[in-house]
Amino acid sequence: MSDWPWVIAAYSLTWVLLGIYTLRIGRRLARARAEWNREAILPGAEASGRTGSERRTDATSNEAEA
Amino acid sequence: VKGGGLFGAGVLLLFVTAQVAAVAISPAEAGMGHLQKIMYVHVPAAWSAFFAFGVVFGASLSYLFRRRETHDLLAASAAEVGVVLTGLTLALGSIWGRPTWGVWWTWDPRLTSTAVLFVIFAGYLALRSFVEDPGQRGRWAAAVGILGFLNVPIVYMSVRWWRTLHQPSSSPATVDDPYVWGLRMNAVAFVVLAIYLMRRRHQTLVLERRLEALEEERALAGGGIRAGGGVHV
Repeated sequence: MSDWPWVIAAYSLTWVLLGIYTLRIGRRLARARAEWNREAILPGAEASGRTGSERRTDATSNEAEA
Repeated sequence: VKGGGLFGAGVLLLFVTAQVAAVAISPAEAGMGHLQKIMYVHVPAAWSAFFAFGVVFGASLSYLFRRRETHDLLAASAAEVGVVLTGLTLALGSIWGRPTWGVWWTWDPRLTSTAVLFVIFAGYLALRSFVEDPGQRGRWAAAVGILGFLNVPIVYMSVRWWRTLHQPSSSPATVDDPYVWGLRMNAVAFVVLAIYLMRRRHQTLVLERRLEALEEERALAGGGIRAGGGVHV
């Protein structure tokens, strides 16, 4: 029997497994970035140069002072 | 993002070039024929998995000493990449073993110790998903990561320490000249790919952790308690 089917099977497996894994982690990173942009940077935060987290901390400080 | 895309394109180019060049140009081996070409993916997959587990070891030690969460997340990223590459190594070994040894699997010391390595780090990932507290998760995972890495030298030395069906470790010292450069090139390509994958997983885990911290901060603020400033990763 020829060796080539085994060689092709090995390289195909390598490409399929690593390809699926690379695409999967790429998608997960893209999702995390999108969520971070949506959740952490509130509207107007870009203009003030501060993140939503910092703005919220300010808000809680003001509430505590009041 | 642009830098990451360029890095990814470079990795892909290196990966394709190394494999095409090695497969197309290296001659058929006297004993194994063209089956030898599986060495260009099987051996580098194993080396890059060892590299990834080495990163787990270093990052885990660093986390235990310095308690920076980013080191714990780096260890987690490297462990995941290492598990994928070890799984690939075992599967490629089976594809090589069937036509050369006549079996898909045998309880040979090299194969068994590699399977144990796979199970240890799969367990490491399972442990991380079970423990919710980040501090506790980091400490326990670091302990398993450091102890798990101790199996890497055992896997490497298994073909010298015990009688084994597996051939001696393939390296530039044990492989004939026509095959050495292909092995080296693919080893570099796999290690660079492992670095790329670890980097992307680490970026994802850092963002996910920051989002978790943000949610905690929101919950605290909603309950009338002053937020502590989040987690720095």
